[in-house]
Amino acid sequence: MKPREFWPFVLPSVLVMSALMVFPLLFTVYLSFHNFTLGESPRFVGWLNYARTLADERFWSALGFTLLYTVCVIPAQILLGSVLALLLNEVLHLKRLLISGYLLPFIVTPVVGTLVVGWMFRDRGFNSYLLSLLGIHIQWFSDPMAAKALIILYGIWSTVPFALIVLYAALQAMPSEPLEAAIVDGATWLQRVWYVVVPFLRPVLLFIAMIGTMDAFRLFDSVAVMTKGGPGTATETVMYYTYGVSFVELLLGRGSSIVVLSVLIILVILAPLLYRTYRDIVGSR
Amino acid sequence: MIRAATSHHPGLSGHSQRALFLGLAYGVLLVWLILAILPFIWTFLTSIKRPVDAFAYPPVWVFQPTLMAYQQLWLEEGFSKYLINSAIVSVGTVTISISIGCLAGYALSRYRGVSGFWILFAAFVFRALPRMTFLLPFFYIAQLTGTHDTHLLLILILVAINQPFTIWMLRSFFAEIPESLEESAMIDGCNRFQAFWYVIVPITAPGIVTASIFSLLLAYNEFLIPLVLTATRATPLPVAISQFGAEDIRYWSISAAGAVSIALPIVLVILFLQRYLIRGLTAGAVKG
Repeated sequence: MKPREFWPFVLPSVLVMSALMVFPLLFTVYLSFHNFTLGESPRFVGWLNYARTLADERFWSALGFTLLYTVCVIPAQILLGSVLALLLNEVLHLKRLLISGYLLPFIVTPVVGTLVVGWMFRDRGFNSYLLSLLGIHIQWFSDPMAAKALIILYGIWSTVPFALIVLYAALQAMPSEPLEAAIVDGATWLQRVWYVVVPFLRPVLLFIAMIGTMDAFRLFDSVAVMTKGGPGTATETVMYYTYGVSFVELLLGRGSSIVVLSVLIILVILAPLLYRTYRDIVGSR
Repeated sequence: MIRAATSHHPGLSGHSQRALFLGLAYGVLLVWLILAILPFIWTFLTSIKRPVDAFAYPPVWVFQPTLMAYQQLWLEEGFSKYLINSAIVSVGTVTISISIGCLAGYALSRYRGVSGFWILFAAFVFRALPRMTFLLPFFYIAQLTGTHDTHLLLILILVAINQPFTIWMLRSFFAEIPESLEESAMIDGCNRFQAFWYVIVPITAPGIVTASIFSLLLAYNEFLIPLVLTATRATPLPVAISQFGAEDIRYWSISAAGAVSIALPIVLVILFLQRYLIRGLTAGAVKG
C-alpha cells in the first residue's frame, strides 16, 4: 500500500484519537500546573497541585488500596481461571451451558453486576443469611476490612470469566505432541500441567496480568456503587479519589495532578509489556 | 487434551480413577457456575416479589409472583427514557467507531511505512490509560461549549476511547485476508476503496461483528463517562439505576427490576452472538 492510499483510510480514526485523546492528555498536563475552578480562568501555580496531592493522606491510602486490589485480584483471577479452564478442557458434556453461565458476570453492565452482588451481602441478603446460618455475622459495609474484602471478592468474581475463556481457548489451540510425549514418559496429570501446559500458556498469562493491571487502575464502578469509597476512605481507589477531588470538590487542577501521577505509575508498571509490544510490531513489519 | 488417564497408582484401576477425576471436575465446574449466576437468579426473584416478600427474612422461596415492580419502574419512574438514551448512544458509538475503525484497521494491516507503526504503538499506550485522563478536559470543554448532557458528546468520547482497541482488533482480522484478493480486484479496474468495500469487507464480516460486540459492550455498560458528562437529558441506564438507592430496602424490588431490565437486552444479544465474542477474546490472547 502506498502512503497516498494509506492516509485517507487512517485519517478519520487518527483525527478522532488526536482530537479526543492526545489533546485532552496534553490539556490535563497543562491543567495540573494551574489552579482553577469553573467560570474562572486558570491561574499558574507551578508544582503546588503535585505537592498538595503527594502530601494528602487520602492519595496514599487510595494508591495503597488500588495496589492491594491488584495483588489480590490478579493472582486469584489467574489461578481460578486456569483451574476452571483446565477442567473445562477435560469434560465433554454441558460445555455450552457452562460457558454461557460463566460469561454472565463478564458481559453484564458492571453497575448491575455490582448491585446484584452487593444485594447478596446486605443485611437481609442471601449470602448474609447463609453466613448467619453458620453463625458468622460480618458487617460488610461498615467494617473497613470487610468492605475491602467485598470489593476484592467482587473484582475476582467479575474478572475470572475473562481469564477462563482466554485460557480455555489457548488450551484448545495447544499442540498435542509434547503432551503425548509426557504421557509416554509416565508423567502424572499435575506434572503434565506444570511442566508442559503452564510454559505453553505463559504469554497468555502475562497478557491477562497486564490487562488486569490496566483495569485495576481504572477501578471505579464497583466502588462508586457498592461502598462509595467507604466506610470513611477505606475502599477509595485512585480513580475514585480523583473523581472526588475533580467532580465533587471541583478542584480540576488538583484532579489533573493526580491523573498525571497515576498515568506515570501505570506506564512504569506496564513498561515491560509496552517494550514487548514495541518489539512485536517492529518484528512483524 | 490433557487427559488424566492411565493410572500408575496401585489399588485404583485407570478407569475408575478417570471417573473419579471427571466427577470432581464436573463438581468444581458446577460450583463456579452457581457462584456466577446465583446473584442474578436472586435478583430476578426479588424483582418479581411483592415488597413484603422481598423484605422477608429469612428469605422466602415460595411466594406470589407479581410484575408490580416492573410496572412501577417503566410507567411511573419513566425508565424507558433512559433505555432510549442508552440505545441512541450505543448505536451511534458502534456505527461511527466501526466505520472509521474498519478503514484504519484495514490500512494498518496493509501499510508497511513507519507512520503505521507509530499509530499502532500510540493507540496501544492510550489503551492502557484510565478514562479519567481524558475526562477532566472534556468536562471543562463541555461546560464552555454547552455540549454537556448531550448524546453527541457521549458518542464522540466513547468512539475515541474505543478506537485503540477497535483498530488493533480489526487490523488483526484484516491481516488474515490475503492481499492477493484486493490486488486482483484492482487489476480488474477497482480502485483501492472499491476493492476494500466490495471484496475485503464482506469476507471480514465475522471479524467486524466481533469488533462491534466489544464496542457495544463498552458503550452500553459505560458508567463513569456519562456520570460526569450527563445531568438529566442524556442519562443512560447505568447512571439512572445507580441513583435509585440500592441501600434502601423498600426499593429493593424496583431496583432489582431495573437491574434485570438493564441486563436482559445485553445478555440476550451476547448469548445470541456468543461465538463472535469468544472469537474476539481469543484473537487478542493467543496472538498476544
